[in-house]
Amino acid sequence: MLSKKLPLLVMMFVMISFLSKAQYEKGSKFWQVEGTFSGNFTSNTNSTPFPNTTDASTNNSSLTFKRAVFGENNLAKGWLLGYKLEANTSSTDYSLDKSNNYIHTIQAGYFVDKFKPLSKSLAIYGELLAKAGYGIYSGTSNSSINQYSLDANLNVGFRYYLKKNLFINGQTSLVNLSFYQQRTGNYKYTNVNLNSIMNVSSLSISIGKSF
Amino acid sequence: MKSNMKLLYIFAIILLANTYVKAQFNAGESYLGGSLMMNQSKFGESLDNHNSSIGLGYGKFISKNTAKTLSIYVGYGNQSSSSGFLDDKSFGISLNKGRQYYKTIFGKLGIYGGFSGGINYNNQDTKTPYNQEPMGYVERTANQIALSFDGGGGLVYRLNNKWAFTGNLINLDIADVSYSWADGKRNLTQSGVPSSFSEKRFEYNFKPTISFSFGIGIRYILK
Repeated sequence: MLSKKLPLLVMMFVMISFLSKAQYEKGSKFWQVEGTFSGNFTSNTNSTPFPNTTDASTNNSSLTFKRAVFGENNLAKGWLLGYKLEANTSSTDYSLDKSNNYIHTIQAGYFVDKFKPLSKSLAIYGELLAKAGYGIYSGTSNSSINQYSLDANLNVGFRYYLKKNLFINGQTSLVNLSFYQQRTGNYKYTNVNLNSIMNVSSLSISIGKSF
Repeated sequence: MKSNMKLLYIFAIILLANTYVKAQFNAGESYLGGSLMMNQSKFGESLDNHNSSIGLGYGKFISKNTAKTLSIYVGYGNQSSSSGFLDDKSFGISLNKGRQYYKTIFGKLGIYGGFSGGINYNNQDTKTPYNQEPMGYVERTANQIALSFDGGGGLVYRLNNKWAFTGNLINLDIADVSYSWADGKRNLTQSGVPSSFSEKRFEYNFKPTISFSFGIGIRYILK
């Protein structure tokens, strides 16, 4: 009788392991990182009114690191740290005018992720995220510039395990509430923005590891 | 009790059968796909417009669920006016090499996804009116070389021995770098002498994003 049941038990075990979700169990942790780098360098030469060349460059980089721990019910809580650099430079060979502008922004925040595993390797999730940022200017301009920002986001995305512990995330923001203030000397610029995107046409990607 | 056991076995076999369906493609099989476009328009006697392109894709299965892909695309466009003050010729060629992975869902339907790397070259010669002078124009020649790395995926349906359809759903932009250079001249300027200019630009992008779009492709399968 047992020999008849054995293949069934083996099969059941196989089926269950197809739907295992150890990565989302209480106490399980993960980290993930998202980076974007883009920029350009241009050089323009003109023969009139006299031969001259203007060089310019723009570079934008950002790096965000997140870490979280799972509690009950596929709910993970964690924190994030981010750094962003926006750099613009330009110079011309017929004058001494050179401009170099850099804005360094650091960000810190807290987030809660709720996962719904669909299979062994795929899950969808919703995320509530709040973060604060501070940006400081350095460069050739004499004025001091300080930027302050607060963001609250409702994000959705998916997580796909490429290997046992290595995953990629695709994520997009559905609702975004932000406060932004820039102080240049005595001048203050403030912006409050609520943005809700209900049409998802692209997702940003990050990679991570659970342990 | 006995019939219950039987039922369980049958149920289990059906479940198993679903996970071990026959492969859609076999190692050694290869396929051809492609696109062809031609467009010609005329605005009265003053403006002629022509565009054409051809794309050819080839893939070879190195195992039942992995294929190597190669594709080439050539495009040409021309726009000119009878006055001779507007002339725009563009030419582009791209070559892509990649790898695709397949998984059967059930029967003849499967999913696929993959990555590819490519190089493309574009050239554009333009002659446009120079607004500050009544008889003035600007001539410009621009070139661009770009390297890109991207991916994509979707659904695949094997109709029969010879034909298969693909439905592309997801596009993945991972990274690209490009270098462009251009030079040109203005025939007349306010000072009365022609002037020349040149531009150089290097651009890089690493901003992985997924976007969604839908397109159907047809494949002819060679043995």
